[in-house]
Amino acid sequence: MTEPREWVRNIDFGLILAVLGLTAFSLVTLYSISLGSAASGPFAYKQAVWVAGGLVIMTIVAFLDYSRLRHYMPFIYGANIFLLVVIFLIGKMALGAQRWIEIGGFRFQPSEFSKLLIVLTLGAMLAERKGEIEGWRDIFLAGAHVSPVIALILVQPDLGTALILIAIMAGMLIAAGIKPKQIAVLGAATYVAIGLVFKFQLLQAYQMRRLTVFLNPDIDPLGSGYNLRQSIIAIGSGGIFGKGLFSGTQSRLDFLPPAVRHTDFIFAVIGEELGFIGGAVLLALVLLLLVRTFRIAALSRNHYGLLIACGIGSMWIFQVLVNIGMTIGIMPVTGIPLPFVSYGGSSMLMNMAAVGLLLNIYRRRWT
Amino acid sequence: MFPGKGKSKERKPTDRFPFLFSLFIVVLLVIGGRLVFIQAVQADKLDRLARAQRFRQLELSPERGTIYDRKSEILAISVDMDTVYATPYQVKAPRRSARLLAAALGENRNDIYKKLIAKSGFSYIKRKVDKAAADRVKKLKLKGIGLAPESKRFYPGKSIASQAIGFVGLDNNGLAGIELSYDTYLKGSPGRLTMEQDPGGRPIPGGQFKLRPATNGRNLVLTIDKEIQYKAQVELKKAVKKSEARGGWMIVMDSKTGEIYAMANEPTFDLNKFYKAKPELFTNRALSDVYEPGSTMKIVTAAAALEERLYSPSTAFNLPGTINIGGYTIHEAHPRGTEMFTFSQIVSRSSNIGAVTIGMALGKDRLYDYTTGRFSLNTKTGIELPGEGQGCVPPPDKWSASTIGNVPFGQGLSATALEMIRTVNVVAAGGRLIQPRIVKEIIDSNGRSLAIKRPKDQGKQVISKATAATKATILKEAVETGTGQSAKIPGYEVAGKTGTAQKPKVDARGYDPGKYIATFTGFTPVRDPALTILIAIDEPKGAIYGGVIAAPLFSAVGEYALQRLKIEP
Repeated sequence: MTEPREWVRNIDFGLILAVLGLTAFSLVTLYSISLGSAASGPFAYKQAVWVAGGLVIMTIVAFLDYSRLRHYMPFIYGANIFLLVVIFLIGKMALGAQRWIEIGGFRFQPSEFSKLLIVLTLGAMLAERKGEIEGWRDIFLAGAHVSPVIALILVQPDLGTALILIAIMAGMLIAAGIKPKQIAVLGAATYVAIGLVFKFQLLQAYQMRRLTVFLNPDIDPLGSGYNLRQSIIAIGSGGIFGKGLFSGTQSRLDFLPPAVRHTDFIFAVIGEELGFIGGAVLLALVLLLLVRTFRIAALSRNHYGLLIACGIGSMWIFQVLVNIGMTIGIMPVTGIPLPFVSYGGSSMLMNMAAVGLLLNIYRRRWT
Repeated sequence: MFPGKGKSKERKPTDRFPFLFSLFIVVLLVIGGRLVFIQAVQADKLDRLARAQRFRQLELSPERGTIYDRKSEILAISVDMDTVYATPYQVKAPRRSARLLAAALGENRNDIYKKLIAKSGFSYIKRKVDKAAADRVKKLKLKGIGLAPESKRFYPGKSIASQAIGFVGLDNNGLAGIELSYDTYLKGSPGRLTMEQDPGGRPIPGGQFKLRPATNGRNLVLTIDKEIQYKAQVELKKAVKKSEARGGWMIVMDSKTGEIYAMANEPTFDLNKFYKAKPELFTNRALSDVYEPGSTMKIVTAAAALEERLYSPSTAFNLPGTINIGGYTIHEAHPRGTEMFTFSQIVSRSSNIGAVTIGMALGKDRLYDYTTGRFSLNTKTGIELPGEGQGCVPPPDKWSASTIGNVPFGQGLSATALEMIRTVNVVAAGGRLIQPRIVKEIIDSNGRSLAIKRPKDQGKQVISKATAATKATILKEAVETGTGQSAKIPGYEVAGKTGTAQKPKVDARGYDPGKYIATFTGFTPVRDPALTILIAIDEPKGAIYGGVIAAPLFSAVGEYALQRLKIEP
């Protein structure tokens, strides 16, 4: 047992500051949206509940010993697959996809948790190699580990989450030490795979449209390009200093569609009301979050902790890239939430649990 | 493959971090860079876009002014109709909608379908439909289909004064006639409604709302008398039909004020269906076509000689059957031997040789001066209608040796019917040149009458009153005993002059054999003239003489107009 002072020193306040800063952005923005239009629900209050619940889960996770999770690897993996299969049996349809299960009045999105569970099980698998993964065999094994989960998520269909899983795997493989040549080969293979998907139209028509419309939103300004166009107008018209909190015309007047502005397009509201300054502060918080995450990875006492931290970091940076990138027109439109900021319980709880894991790894860096 | 043992160096667990971390930094820099671009570089442009889609401006169309005749009978009026339009991206089931709309509107299903699937935010399905059709569309309750009020021009007189009144296009802008020349008065100015609204088009509570109402167009009162116009058209149509002519035109004018009571063209068209008519019918030939005035010109020649006191009405002339001028032989219309004519008879019996004799006595300079300077034959009348033509009188230095043998009886120069009636009317108006006009009053939307600018030299005395009176007597003789006898009106004294002008070939020198314009121009009552009327029949067949074909119209229309205007003999 440690002294109180040492106990305090074992908390990574930088990480917590970044997380609280991002959730503050979330709550203020959601509050602003809910003032603006009657069409919005009380998102700010609900999100506050999720933040509170998330902090509790974070604390609990922080005090467990993450290292022991390695031993439950088959069980965790099985649970992951089980949750995704359950969706098909009792799942709810929303926006054309089956992503939700309802438990006691709450709606959960198991694919959100899938991401963290994959980090835990893939990390356990790669940690066996003790940072000596060199051959293609390990890469294929990692692929085989993740593929069933990706497949189950793709059929929901939830392309965004599937892509995040690939990003997590890539980040963790890199951290685990695959060679530059292998990175190049895998990169080329990904490129070819994307080419084949487009060539043979393996995606739903709406997915294809959303994936390509960002290249030229004006080809369909009232259809697929609408959200994107309105988002760019919102952010751009915010200018350097923004239109001020509670004064974004794009978001308050429903030009940004109410269905997405509190979730996938929340950054457009921030960009409009708080301007470039607000966006820069948010990106600074993201940078702080990632710096702390990789510092924890580097400080981890074992490979497992390192891989978990890198997996979580990869997940976050990929989500930030695709989510913000989508709102500013440099990434395809896929339904990926902005970590800690987009409205959504499952996402918030999962991310908070991830923070808990990081705090856990940090706390146990010596032992 | 090779599970690295001695082959690879022991790697540090964090040696891939710089690579991973630089990837993350690149991501943040790309996002940051893009934000700088859209929030600093493009900020103004995007801000304008944000405003533009928030503020919607509705143009409120003004009501186009009504056109009345002199007795306040409506000639043209705007009536509210419904226009069916679609908002294509809101249309559900375009095939079914197209089928239902086609049935309701009596239009082609495929045409409508194309409009329903158009890649735009708005498309007209059918503009200006009647109430019954609009109700049928309303009952269908189709999504994405709307009705908007739009005003449509309606001409109750159908083909009454079609060329003079003119018509408007689909957007209610004047395209011809008075609708065109007075478009700025008639159309009014549109108002504007500026609204701040959400993407559904609903006004935002507490948002900006600015209304500038439309100013309706001004009403116009024409000098036209609908009934006289109608009578003129009926008679003209009959005459054209009877003589199998190409067409004809007719002007009935108030001798003292120059107000046009009627301006008729035949063939004509229904203004409400102008789009079905041949465009050449839109031409108001009474003021646009120039042609040789023929014998009517003898009025000018004789008046000049009287004014110059060269002759008196009773001066006797011994005229040969033909006369040779500059190598050309001049003939009479009806061949005769050498005969005695008085000055009056030269006009009333329409002797070409007599007119040339008088013309030569005047000399080309004086003849030119009277024709152009005093009788203004080469100046437009400036009537308030578009498309007025301008006649041509060649200046004396351009005259050949034979010109003096042509001009005195109306060849080798040209004029429009309107110019010609103004010239003849000098005799009726006691020697004054009266400006013809067709707009009587402009009334603004508050019912106030706007001052109309009139030319300063209105009613300028161009020949003496005495000359005009003498001339009138001679022209009376022409109707009573000369060529224009069929223009007589029982109980009234009529003065006038026939004319039978040859038409020049279209693209060659000389005259087109067998093609004439038969005219009669005159006025009544002679002592205190009230009406001046010109009739022209274009390319009649059979009897070609103005006295036979045109003069009876003077009698028929003149008698009707005298009674309608309650003019005492």
